[in-house]
Amino acid sequence: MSPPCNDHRERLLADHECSSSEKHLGECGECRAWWVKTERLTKALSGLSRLDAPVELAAAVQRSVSSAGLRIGESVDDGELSGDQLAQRLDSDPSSLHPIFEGAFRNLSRLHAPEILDDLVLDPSPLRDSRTATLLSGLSRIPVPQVLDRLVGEELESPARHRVERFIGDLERENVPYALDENPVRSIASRFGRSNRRMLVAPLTAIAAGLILWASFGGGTRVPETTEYSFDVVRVHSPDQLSPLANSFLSGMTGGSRLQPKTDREGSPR
Amino acid sequence: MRALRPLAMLLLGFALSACGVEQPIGLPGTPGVPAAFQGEWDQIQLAPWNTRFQGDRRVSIAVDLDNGEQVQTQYMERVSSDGTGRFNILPLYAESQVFPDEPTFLTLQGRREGFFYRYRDFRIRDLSLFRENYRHLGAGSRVEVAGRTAWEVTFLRNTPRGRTYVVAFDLVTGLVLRCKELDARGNLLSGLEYTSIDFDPELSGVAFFVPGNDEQRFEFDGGEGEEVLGFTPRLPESIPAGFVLHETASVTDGMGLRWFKAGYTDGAEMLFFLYRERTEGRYELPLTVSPQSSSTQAASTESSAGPERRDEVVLFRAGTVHAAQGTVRGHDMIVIGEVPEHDLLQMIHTTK
Repeated sequence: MSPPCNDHRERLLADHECSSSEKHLGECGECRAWWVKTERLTKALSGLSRLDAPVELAAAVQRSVSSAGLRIGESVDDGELSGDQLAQRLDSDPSSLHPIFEGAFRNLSRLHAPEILDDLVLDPSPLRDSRTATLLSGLSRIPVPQVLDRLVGEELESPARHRVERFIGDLERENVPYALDENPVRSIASRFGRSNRRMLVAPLTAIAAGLILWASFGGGTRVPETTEYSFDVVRVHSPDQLSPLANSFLSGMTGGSRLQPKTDREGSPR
Repeated sequence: MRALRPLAMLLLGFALSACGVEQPIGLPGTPGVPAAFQGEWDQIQLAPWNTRFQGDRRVSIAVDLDNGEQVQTQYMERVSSDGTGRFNILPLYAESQVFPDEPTFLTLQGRREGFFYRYRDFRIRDLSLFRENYRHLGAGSRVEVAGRTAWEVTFLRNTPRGRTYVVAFDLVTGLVLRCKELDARGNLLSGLEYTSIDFDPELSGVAFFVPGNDEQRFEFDGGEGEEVLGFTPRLPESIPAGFVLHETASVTDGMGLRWFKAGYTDGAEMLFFLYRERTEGRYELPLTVSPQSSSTQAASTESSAGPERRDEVVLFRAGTVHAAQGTVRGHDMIVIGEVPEHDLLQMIHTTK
């Protein structure tokens, strides 16, 4: 790189629209390539988020300033300079800044430039011109969970079956009518002894189970027998929707157990 | 043949269950039962109240939620009784994930000590009723619990799909040292087991239970209730099969309102009915529910379309426990118990 090239590059860095330097870019292929690279770098840098100075910088600078102050203040009687005195010395002798900040920066942990910066500089792909694409490409890639492949594959193999399974899971669970529990047994008990009752209850139970299954899967959602009540019944799914008094009795009956689905913030692992 | 397999399995299961020797309650005179245990039912009933002891025990609870999740809770607690009716339960530490966090959970459990000792723990509350509603399987067996010799008996509720209790009684005091509550399929619903017990404890530092809800017991038929409550207590006309009225009292809720509390029992389990006459404009049960979290079962076709708003009863299920609450005909009512929801609704429906 010739000295004129160096001058033009410095001028361009100071003033992007310097006409004489722009003219030089048209004549010098080396400087033109340098300028394209520099513009890309500038663009990339301007797209990066600004990082705050590490908090330890202040402490490190203070330490270095103190030690420098001690050195500079050797001629002072008490061997130590106050902040104002040090500032005056620094104004009168700017070169004393160098050891102070050298020491301060040496104490700092080095921050590495993002890898994306290298990619941007080295890869002239047109995609890189898109800032969003650039940022996205810089993100670490998380592989898709393998189980997702399997689940999607299974669903695609038999979509109808999976759709039915999903909807069945959403259906409200029906309770067996209480009358089924009590009445048949009671009537049988009044007529037969205990051993005879068992002999009868067994097949009746089997028949009842069959009827329940048939009713559950053959007839769709069945409305519970609530027609005799003088009120409407509202089913809730959270104990919070009960009154505090009802809630306290419920907590006692259920031993203080959690009674609603867990949220991420709840529970303490043991 | 393949289609008949479930039926065959069902019949086989029934035949196998029939092989067990089930007997009505009446262990005295039952062959194989230790002499020390014969005729001790009265003492078993009274043991929690007239036995001086202190012991640590493990409590396990399993609750099935509506979304299919099973919540399992396990923790340790220290129980103290001075033998004159005073008691204390001190929660010690959790052994499982607890809600919402361990310190809060233990604090809340401590505040529930009165309910737990009197109602949650397995008790024979009414011997004649217990004999009527339960039977035992076999003569039981000798077991060791917390270094004590105990007699373990399996009790079955005399209803299909009823629960089973496997209870180990201390042979000397009659105290329940271990109890497992199982559902009809044999799944554990709750468990309680002493890991250590001392029958000559130092209890000077124990803060015995004092009711925090201003509870005052009274005889329902004595006419005392109206004086205590400030309104006429009412009871449901229909109660679940096997249950009878066990105790009546007045309790005060967190808003300072008095409620009539009726406790029903089937000899072991408890069922609660709470009632109060509504004071106009003073208190509203939180019956408003969001459409996403509830489903309304219309009691009749006219109910939702009619011009007049009908009373509503809110129903909630937690495992085997059902709770119903509502304001019907101007009366606030709450019913909670391990009975089918239809029975709870009937209780509310028949309270007039």
